Amino acid sequence: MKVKDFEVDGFGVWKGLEVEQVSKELTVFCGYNEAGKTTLMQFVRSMMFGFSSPRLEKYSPPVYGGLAGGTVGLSTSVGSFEVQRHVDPNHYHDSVGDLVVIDSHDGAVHGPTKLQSLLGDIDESIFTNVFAIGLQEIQELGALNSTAAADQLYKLANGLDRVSLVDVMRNLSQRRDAIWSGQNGNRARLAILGKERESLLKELESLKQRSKDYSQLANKVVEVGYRLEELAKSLKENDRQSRVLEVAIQVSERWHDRVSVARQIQEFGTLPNRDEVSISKLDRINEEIAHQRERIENFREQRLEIKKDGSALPIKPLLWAQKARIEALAEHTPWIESLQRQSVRLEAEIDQIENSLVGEVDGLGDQLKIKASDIRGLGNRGLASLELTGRKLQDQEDGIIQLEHDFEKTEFDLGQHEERLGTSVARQSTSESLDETGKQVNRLRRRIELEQKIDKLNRGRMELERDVDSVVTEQVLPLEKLSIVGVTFIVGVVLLGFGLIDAVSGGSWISQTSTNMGIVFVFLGTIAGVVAMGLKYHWEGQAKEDLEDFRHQIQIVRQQLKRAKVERTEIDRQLPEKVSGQWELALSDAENRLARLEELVPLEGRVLTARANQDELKRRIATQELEVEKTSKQWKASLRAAGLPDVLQPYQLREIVQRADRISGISDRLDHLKAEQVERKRELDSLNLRIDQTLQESGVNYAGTELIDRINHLGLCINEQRGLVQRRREFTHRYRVLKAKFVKAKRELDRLLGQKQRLLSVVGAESESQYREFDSELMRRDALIENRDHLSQQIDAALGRNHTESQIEELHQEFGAAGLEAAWESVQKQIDSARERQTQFQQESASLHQEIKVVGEDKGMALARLKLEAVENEIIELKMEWQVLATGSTMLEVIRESYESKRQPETLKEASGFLTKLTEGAYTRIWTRLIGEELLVDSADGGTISVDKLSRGTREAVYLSLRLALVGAYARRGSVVPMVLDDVLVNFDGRRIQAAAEVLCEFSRQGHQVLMFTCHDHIRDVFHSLAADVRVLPDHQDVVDSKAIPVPYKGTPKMDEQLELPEFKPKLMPEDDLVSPAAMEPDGIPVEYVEYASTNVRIDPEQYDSELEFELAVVASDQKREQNYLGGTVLEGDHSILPMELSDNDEFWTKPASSLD
Amino acid sequence: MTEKIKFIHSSDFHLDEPIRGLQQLPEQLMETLAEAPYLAAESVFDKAITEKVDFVLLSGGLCNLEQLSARAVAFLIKQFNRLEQKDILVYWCGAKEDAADQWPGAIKLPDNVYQFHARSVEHLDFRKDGKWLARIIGAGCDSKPVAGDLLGCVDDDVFNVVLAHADSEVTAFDSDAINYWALGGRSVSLTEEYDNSVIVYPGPPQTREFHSGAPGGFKLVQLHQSRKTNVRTIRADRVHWCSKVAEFQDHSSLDDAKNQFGELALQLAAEHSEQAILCRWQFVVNGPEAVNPEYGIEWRASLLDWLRAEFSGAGNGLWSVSLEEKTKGDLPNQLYEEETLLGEYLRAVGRYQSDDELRLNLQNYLKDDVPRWETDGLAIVNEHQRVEILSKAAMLGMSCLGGQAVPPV
Repeated sequence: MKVKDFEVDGFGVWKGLEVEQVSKELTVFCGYNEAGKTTLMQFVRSMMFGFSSPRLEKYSPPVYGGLAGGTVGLSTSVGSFEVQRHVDPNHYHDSVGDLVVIDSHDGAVHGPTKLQSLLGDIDESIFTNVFAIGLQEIQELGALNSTAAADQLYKLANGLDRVSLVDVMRNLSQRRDAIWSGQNGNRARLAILGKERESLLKELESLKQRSKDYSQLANKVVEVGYRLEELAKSLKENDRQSRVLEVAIQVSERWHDRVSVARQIQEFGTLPNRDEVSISKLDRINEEIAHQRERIENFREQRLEIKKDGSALPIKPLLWAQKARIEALAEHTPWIESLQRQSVRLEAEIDQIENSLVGEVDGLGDQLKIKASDIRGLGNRGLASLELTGRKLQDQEDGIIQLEHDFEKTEFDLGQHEERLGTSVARQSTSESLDETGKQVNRLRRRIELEQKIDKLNRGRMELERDVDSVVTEQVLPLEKLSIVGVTFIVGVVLLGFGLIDAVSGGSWISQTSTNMGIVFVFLGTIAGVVAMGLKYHWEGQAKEDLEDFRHQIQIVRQQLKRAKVERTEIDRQLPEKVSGQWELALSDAENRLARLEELVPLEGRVLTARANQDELKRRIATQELEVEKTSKQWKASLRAAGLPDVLQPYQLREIVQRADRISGISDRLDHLKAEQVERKRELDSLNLRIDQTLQESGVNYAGTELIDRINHLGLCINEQRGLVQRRREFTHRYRVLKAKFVKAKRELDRLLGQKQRLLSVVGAESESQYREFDSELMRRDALIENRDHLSQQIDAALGRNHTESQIEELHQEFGAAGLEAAWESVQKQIDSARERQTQFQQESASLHQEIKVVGEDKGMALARLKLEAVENEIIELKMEWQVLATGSTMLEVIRESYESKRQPETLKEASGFLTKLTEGAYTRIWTRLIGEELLVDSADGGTISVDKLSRGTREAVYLSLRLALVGAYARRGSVVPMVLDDVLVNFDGRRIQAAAEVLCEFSRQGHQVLMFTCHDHIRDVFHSLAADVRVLPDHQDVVDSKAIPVPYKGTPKMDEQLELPEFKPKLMPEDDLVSPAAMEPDGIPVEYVEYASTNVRIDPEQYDSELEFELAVVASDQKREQNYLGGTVLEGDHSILPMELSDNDEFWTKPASSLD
Repeated sequence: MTEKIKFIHSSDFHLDEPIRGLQQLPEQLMETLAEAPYLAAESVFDKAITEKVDFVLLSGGLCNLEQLSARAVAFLIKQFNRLEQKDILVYWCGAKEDAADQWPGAIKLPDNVYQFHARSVEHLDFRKDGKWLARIIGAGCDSKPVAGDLLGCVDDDVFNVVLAHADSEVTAFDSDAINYWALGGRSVSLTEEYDNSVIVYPGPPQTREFHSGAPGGFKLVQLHQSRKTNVRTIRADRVHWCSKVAEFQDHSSLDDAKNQFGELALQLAAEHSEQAILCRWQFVVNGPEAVNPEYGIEWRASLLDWLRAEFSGAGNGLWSVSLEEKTKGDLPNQLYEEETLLGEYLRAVGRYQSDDELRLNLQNYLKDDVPRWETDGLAIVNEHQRVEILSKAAMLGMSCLGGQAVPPV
């Protein structure tokens, strides 16, 4: 498609401009600034693609009136057409406008579709960036923004297959990115799943925590159960203790009395058993003892009389002992007579010796009247037994003296104690008054306690009555509780109402987003109502229970009060009337009296002890005297038995013993002489000696000297002694009979005394009086025991079967009688407290069980795990999809590298050819990576430079080369559209303008129509020199006024006058001007730089500076790179490069430079 | 031939493990799927009561007590209490996760339940009407029993049962002295019968994922006077897994596919009217093409959506888990030889498939702003994933470079 001619009916400053016979190759329109070149180019665009709003706004209505629009004549491969397009006044803003396409061949009129088909695939965007380009558009390609033209460039650059490799790579990349970051404003599925998973994990964590709570709840249930069990035990124990305490309080008085009686019983100390003390038995024994003593005395007297009679018989035991010898001597009278003569000689010596013996005996004194023969009869043995008896008698007499001394001392002490104890009358009443005073003290104390207890019970009753009044008042709920119930109920009703209204309105009344709020309100409202009713019933029930409790307590207090008053009346009756009302005073007096009496009790004990000692001493003295008497009798009997006088004293016996030794010595001498005499005088002397000896041994005193006389006398004496012996034997027999009776009576007496002694010793009595004292004490103690047993029976009856005395005993020991009430109250408080805690624990237990049930039946965890499983599966699937996509991309990368290195695209090859010509061989190749959207240029020396690092002029040469190649590419695809260039060579130097002009001319000659607009004479001249169709635009006023038209330029180029153009050298940006990557760190970005980037820079065309524009372009390029680093956080909008947005018709061109800031 | 002992053997309830393998959950089946493990386990105890069994053997794996699930514990206590009311004993030999020493101390098991210790071999005698009939030998999961441990407990006069949650180490004891090996720990049921011995893995009452359509259940065992052991499998699963294949003619339309799948779905719903059904659909295209691009992602997605919408309410619910084409084999060689992008692509994939030394590094495709949890383990492809990923990548290339329009994202 080529433009043959066009006519501007009205567009901006142009009206009625006609351009005819436009060259099919290259046509240059010259005009100075404000001549309307850009307007004309925009007119061509409008004719092709309609009136866009910016164009409509700028160029319509035309300056000189009329409708905007015009006609363009087109020559195509399918014929010639005339395109007429004007702004539709009825649809002013319709971009298509009033469009008519008229076939020149047959005059057929077509619509926009025809024009579209004539344009091929070229849309306005492609036309603007590839075909109709100005300084602004030429840079857009360099920025490689997202225009379809730029895209097409790369698509073209990478060749064609079934599909575009770039498309596929982009598609995979987008699909990968979509997995992470979503697409078309939607959040990525993975992100949504991630959130869901996070939410589910939190929910699961919460549910797991609840499960852990389940175990803790179970622990708590066990613990609460244990505590409830303990509380039940405690309550049971407290109830039992309470009942025991109540019973203890009931029996307290009797208990106290019994304790008092027991104490009195205990004061008796250790007493013998009742069975062991028998006064009647003692009396009977005493009677028998007296009887036996009387018999013994009789026997003694009879024996003494017989003994006396027997002793009075002149029986000579020695003589009787020689009866046989004397009778033998009598038979030997003749023999005796012969012997008399022998005895005469020896008789004298014997008489001498006997005389000395008599002298010794006489030394003992007359008092003893002991014969010498008696002395000789005493052996050592007999004297020793006598000596022992004497010593015993002496000791007993000394003992009596000692006992009498002790008795006197005891008597003195007794007198002292009695003097202290006072009169006997006072002594007699000590113990009795002590008991009486003690009882009075106890009664007074109990009286005072009762008074206090009654006062306390009265106060308690009044308090309870007040409490009852308050509870009765609480049965009608107090204001604060009523307020709570009311407010809760009202809130419930309001919530319920809201919920119901919301439910009726379909869930949109309360919340636009949540349809469940109504149900929640209904639920909350119902709960609040139920809570309010529950609170009301709970508080009312609680008040009722409290009232019953208080009434029960009042009943108990009244009963206690009644019991206390009865007891008080009983005690008042027992107390004397004079102490009425003065209980404390009387108690103090009685306690003082009791204290004094208690002090006398030990003194009385000492008196009793002294008396007992005195009685004991008396008894021992009497006993000792009896012993002395007995020993004395034994002594005398022994003396008599020894032939000694009974008046002999023991000390005298000691002297006799000493003399008897000497007498024995003399007797031995005499015997020796007699034996010597017998030896000398043989038979006579021996016979005489025998007679003498017989006389001596028989103790017969015979004065006759003749042996025969003496033998006869001995015979007579023997006969006499025989009669006496016979009598004595009769006495002896009687004595022995009496002795047997005596011994028997004595033994009986001893038995009785022993029996009496045992009777006393069994009970520990030291005397009979003490024994009798025991009996009286036992009688008094038995009376007290009977009293105690009576009290015990009463206590047992009160205790019943359920309680024991040991419990009451423990309570009295623990609390005392006065503390029982307090203890009972304390136990009651404990019971109340325990019941309260029991209720709390029961509620807690029920709550825990409910909670356990709820937790145990919670299906949330299974549901959450199922959801989490699904979410994670989907995440895994998405990640797998990403991996597959990334693997696919990896494979495509392999292909891309191959294509980049081996299959350089045709378009870029062609562009490279144009660039080589435009730069006179300085740059040889344009190429691009498939991915990365970056154009690269290879210089002649083999280096590769990014386009954005080239100088402005060179860069524009690259872009122009690419445009030309693209136009060629479109042409090869059948899209042939005229190329419109608006002063795109202004930044070229002279040589490059020349080269560019040649390229363009050559390009146009290849079938590509080119319309070139310029305001520069040297450019015009260059084209003119190349025989291009150069036309000078008329002044628009002239066009209106005189229908002026562009005329061909006739001037001759003065090639010789041209300055010698310097050799072209590529101008690279100095390295220092480039911002290093390190400096592009976010922290390193200067503020001015950022602010500058965010400002739309506008340049006054009058002050246009190519160097400034170059710098701005560099800044824009850097900003783009920085954007890559910062993820687009600095620059906003598309990849707008500031200078490229400049248009000479934009209104900002006309604004003052100051507005740049 | 009257029965002497009757008992139920079950294991692997895994009460706290969900149904696996689903990506999108149908709202109407959500509760059924979540409750399925519990309902299946409950049917074990229901059966024990209705059959009036003598005892129940549980071979472990009932729940994970290490991560205590309150509901699982409460559920077990409730079921044990039901059995206790019927005088039915429970012998429970736990796995590591439900061993006796893991049971929460605060929660008391009913008296009819005996938990075997984890670290020892114990035995209990079962008596019925005062007569000694069986010996239950429990081998704890950490007891590491040798033959002597178990055989030492055996008494030839009675029926000997070994109860364990064990692997082949326990079953390796080849002895006729053990009449019944009550084992657990397998995801599918397995029964091996010998002359005088039977080894039984009952599998879970509810299968969690697709195992060739194997149903979940438990064993009802009857021992007769003749010492003959009769083992019956009782189905208990409330969610039935299955897979169905439909055959299409080449160029079948979407409506044709819907008709075919619809008939299969209705048939499934009728066959399993008491259960929810999870079905994996597959289709085979009769024709020369190895790959049929016309049955691509959109086509399958459309059909799957239709199946889900149409039959999710059928019977107790039929949910279509997936829909895939059953491939006929490898791609034809001619595709690899094309001098096109696709040919290049397939050759590149082929190089990676044939050479394990070529690393498949996807690190460059990860973006820094993506959260770590999403990218962990993505860049490094392990051997197991590599085969599947490369295979799918080849199919991706087929769909993208095969001449069809690039599918939208």
